[in-house]
Amino acid sequence: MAKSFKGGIHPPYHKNLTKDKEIRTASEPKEVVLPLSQHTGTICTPLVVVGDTVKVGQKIGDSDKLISAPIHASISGKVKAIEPRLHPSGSKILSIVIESDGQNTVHESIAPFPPLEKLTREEIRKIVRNAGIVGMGGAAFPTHVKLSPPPEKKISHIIINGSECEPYLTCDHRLMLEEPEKIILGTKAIMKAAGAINGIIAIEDNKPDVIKIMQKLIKGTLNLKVIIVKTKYPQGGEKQLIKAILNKEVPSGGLPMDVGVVVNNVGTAAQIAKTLLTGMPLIDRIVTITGSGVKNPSNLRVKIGTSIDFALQECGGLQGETGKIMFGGPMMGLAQTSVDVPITKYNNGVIVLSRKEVTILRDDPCMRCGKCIEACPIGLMPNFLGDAGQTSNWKRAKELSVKDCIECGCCTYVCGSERLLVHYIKLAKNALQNKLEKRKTK
Amino acid sequence: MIDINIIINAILLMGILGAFSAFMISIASKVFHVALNPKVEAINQILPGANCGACGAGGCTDYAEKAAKGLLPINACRPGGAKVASAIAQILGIEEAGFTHKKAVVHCGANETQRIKRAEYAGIPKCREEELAVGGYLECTYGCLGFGDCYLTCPFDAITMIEGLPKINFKKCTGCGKCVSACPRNIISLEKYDEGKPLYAIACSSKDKGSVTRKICPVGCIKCKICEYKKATDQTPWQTCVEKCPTKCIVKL
Repeated sequence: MAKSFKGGIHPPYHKNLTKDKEIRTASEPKEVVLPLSQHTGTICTPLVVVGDTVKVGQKIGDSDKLISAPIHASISGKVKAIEPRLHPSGSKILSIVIESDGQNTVHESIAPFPPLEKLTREEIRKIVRNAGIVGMGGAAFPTHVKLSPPPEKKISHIIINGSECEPYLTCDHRLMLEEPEKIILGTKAIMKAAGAINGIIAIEDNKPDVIKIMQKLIKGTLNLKVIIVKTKYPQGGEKQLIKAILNKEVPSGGLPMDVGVVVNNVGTAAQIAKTLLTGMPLIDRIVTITGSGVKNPSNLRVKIGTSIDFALQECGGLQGETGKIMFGGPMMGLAQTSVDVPITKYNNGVIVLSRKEVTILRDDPCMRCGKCIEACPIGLMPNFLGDAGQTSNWKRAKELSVKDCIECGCCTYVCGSERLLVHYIKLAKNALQNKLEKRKTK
Repeated sequence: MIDINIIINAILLMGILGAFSAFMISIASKVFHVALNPKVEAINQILPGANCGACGAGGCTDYAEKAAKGLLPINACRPGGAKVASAIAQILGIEEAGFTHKKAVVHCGANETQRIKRAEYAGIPKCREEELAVGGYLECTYGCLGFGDCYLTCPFDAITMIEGLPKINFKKCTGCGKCVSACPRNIISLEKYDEGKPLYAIACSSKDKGSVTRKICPVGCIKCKICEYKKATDQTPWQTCVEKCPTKCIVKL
C-alpha cells in the first residue's frame, strides 16, 4: 500500500502531454538575462562590469551571507548591461545581461572533481555552494545550507523527492528515466555531506516505469531505498513527504532538519552529480513547457537566463488564444505578465493555458461547508484564515498560525464559493512579515 | 385579587438588596480607588477622537496618557492641528511646540485610461494583493494601481477615486499618514502645507529612464531636467516649472 498523508486533493494531472517526450536540448540563446536573486535569501552583488567578456561557468555574482548562492554565466560572451529587469516574481531585480559570442568557451576553472570516496563532507558542501546549487523543485532554498546542519541536529534520513505531484510537470519524471545513475550518485553525495545513514527516493505510484528502473539500480545498496508514495497533491511538499514516509511531523515554524531529515529534489541530486563529474556549476536545467496553448509541448534543457519567449519558440510557439502563462506548476506557480521574463534556477515548468481554460474565481462569501479544512494537508482552517485576510484581521490570522501554510492551493481548489483563499492567506502573511520587519527596524 | 403582601415583600426585598449593593459599591469605590490624572482627562476631552494613530499611540486615550507623561510630543496630533497642540500646552502648563501642517500628496498622475496594462488582473481588488500576486499588471512598475487601498483606509474621508486615481481633499486631509503606509508602491507622501499658499508636486514616481517612461506613460517624468534649469534662473520657480514641464507632470494642487 502506497504511503500518504491526511488531506490533499486529486486534480486532473494532464501529464500525458509531455510524459513520453525525451529531454531535448534547446538551441543556443543569443542573449541571457541572469537575475542576481535566483534563490531564497540575500541578493548577490555582481562581480563583473559592463563590457567584460565572460565564459561559460564563470562566477559573475556572489554574496558573503550564508543563505545565498552564487550566480554563474550560462553562455560565453560580453556583459551587455547590469540593470533591473523583470523577474518571475513580478518585480524588477538587478540582472546581468550577457550577449552571446556563439563560441560557448568554457571557463578555465571548470575541471572534474575527484571521485566521491575521496572527498570529505566539508569539500562536498563547498563544491555545492560554489556551484550555486539551489533547490530545483521550486523553492530555491540554497542546498549547501540544507547540507550543513548545526552539530546538535543529527540527520538520520535523506529523502530525494521524485514525487512530482504538480499537474502538467514531467521534467523530474523524464530526468529519473533518462539519468537515474546521476540521481543515485547525487543522493550518495548528499548523504555523505549531511552525514545521514539512510537514503530514500520517494516516487509517486503513477510513475511505475521509473520505480522499476530505480529499484533495479539500487539493488545491493543497503542504505538506499525506493519508497512508493500515493499519487496525491501536495505529496511532493517536504512536510507531507516526511509525514507519509517516516510518520514524523515537522514542528510549527521548524525545518525538516528538526526531525533529522533533509529533503532534496531529484533535479538537485542530479545537478550535484553533474557538478562532481564535470565540474560545471548550475548553468542549465530541464523545464517542462506544456499546456494547451503550446504547439509542441516538450521537456527542454535550457540555459538559465533564457527568456520564456525563446523557450516557447523552441516548442513551436503559441497556438490559439493565450489566456495565462505560468511559471512552475498550475497549483503553486506564478502567473507571468510578460514573455521577456528569464527562466531561473528554480523554474521547473512553463505552462500556457488557453483563454477557455482560465477560470476567473467568483470570490463569494464562505458557506461553511468545511471542505477546505478536510483538504488542508497541514491541518489549518483556511475558511477562517480567508476571513481574517479579507477583513485585514492580522492578529486573528496569526492566532490561526497562518505562517504554517505552505500555499499549496488545495483549499482554493475545493472551495465551493470559489474563494481566493490562498491570496488572502498570502496577504496576511505579507502583512505580518511587514509588521515584524517594522518592529525590527524600530 | 392581588395580594398586597406580595407587592410589599417584593418592594422590601429589592429595596434592601439595592441599599446593600449601594453600600458595598461605596466601600469598593473608596478601597479600590484609582488615582486619575485630571490632565489626562482634560487632554482626552479636547482630542478629536478619530483614533487614527498618526501620533504613534494606540488611540486618542493612549495618546492623552503618553502626552501627559511626556512620552510623546504635544504637537503629535495631526487631525487636531495647531489648536489642539496649544490647548495641550496650556493644560500641561508647558511651552507651545508649534505645529506644521502636512497634507498627503499623490505622486502619480496617470488615470485609468492613460495607464498601459500588460495583463488582465482578476484577483482580489486590492492594491497590496495585486502587487503581491503578480508585481503589478501595469507596464509602469512605480505608478498608481488604482484599486484604492488609500481610499479605503482614510479615516477622514478625504480621498476620492477619480478615474482610478486618488484625489485628496486638502480641506479634509489632516496629514495622519494612514494612506502613506497603505500604498504598496509608496507613491503618497506627506508634504508641508501653509494655509492659503499653493502646493506644488511632481505627479510621477518613476525611476525608469526617460525613454522607457515615454513609451509607457503620457504623463510620466522623462527626466529632461528642464525644471531644474528653470528653477535656478526664475523668480517664481514652481509656477514656471508647471508651465514648462513637457509632459505636465509637475502640478499645482
